[in-house]
Amino acid sequence: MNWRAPLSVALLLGALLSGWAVWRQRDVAPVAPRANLRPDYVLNDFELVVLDRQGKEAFTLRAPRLERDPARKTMQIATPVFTLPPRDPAHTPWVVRARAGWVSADADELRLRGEVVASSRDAQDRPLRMESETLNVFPERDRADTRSQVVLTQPGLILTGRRGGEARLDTKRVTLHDVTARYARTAR
Amino acid sequence: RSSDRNQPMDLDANHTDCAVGNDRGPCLFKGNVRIVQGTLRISAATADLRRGGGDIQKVFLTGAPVQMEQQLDNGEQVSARSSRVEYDLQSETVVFIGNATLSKPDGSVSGERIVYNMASGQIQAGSENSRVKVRFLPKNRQAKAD
Repeated sequence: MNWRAPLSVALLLGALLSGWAVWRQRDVAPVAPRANLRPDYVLNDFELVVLDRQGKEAFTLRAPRLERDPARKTMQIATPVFTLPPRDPAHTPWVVRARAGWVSADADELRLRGEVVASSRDAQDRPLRMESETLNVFPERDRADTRSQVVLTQPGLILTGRRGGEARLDTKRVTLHDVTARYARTAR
Repeated sequence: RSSDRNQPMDLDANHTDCAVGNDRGPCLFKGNVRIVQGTLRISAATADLRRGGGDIQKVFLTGAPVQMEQQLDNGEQVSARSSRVEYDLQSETVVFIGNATLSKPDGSVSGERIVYNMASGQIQAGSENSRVKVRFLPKNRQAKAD
């Protein structure tokens, strides 16, 4: 019986399988790390003041629960409320809340997920509000960005970025993409 | 229409770069800008909105060209285009600058600079070094032109 043919078919299948396995392992976008290890510590109903490298307050975090991932040194938070103080006293703080939050090991990146609401006040002391499903905040650089739809409201203005945008949290300058805006005369 | 002024202004565009921390900060819209305010319709490449006291004070538009249409209280349609437009909402005055033309059923005016008062319907045209061209359509031709 001629064994060469089945052997080469078997080898071909083996090559295809290993090629497929390598392709499956290709560089897949890192999913927000979940603390799949047992947390090394858990906080309940806490307030945490995080300082930046200069020892100044980077942000304050209040939440009912925090779990710390010992391997990545990241924190997973339930219904977080972050308060981001302004560096310049002329500016106003932001309060950012969401259904879930994640803080990087160096606390230089916050990822807010689910019903994210960021609130502040403008120079005329009028309320300013940004809503989205996701928001990435970089406290030390006073920046935030999202690829989800974001709606910004303040008296007389509704600004929507259907393809997300970026915000300077200090100067409150926003860049939005695929935009609609509605200006309504404010009541006199 | 004279009621346009009190209607909400709706815009859409590809991008916006907006200073929302201060009422007087600029809000620049770029790319396929379309503005609707009552019967007023504007299309432009960019629109820079300036607010004050919580309301829009002025809009500066550029385009190739900027195009504007509006229905008058008597139902007639006015349309205009130019390279640049300055719309002052407080005085209800629109200034068309650069290769400007404004057309109404009873005729049209062209020049480098046209000032149109939306409230009174008054039109001023002309600048130092450019001539103005005005065309009046006779009554019967107006009906045909409609």
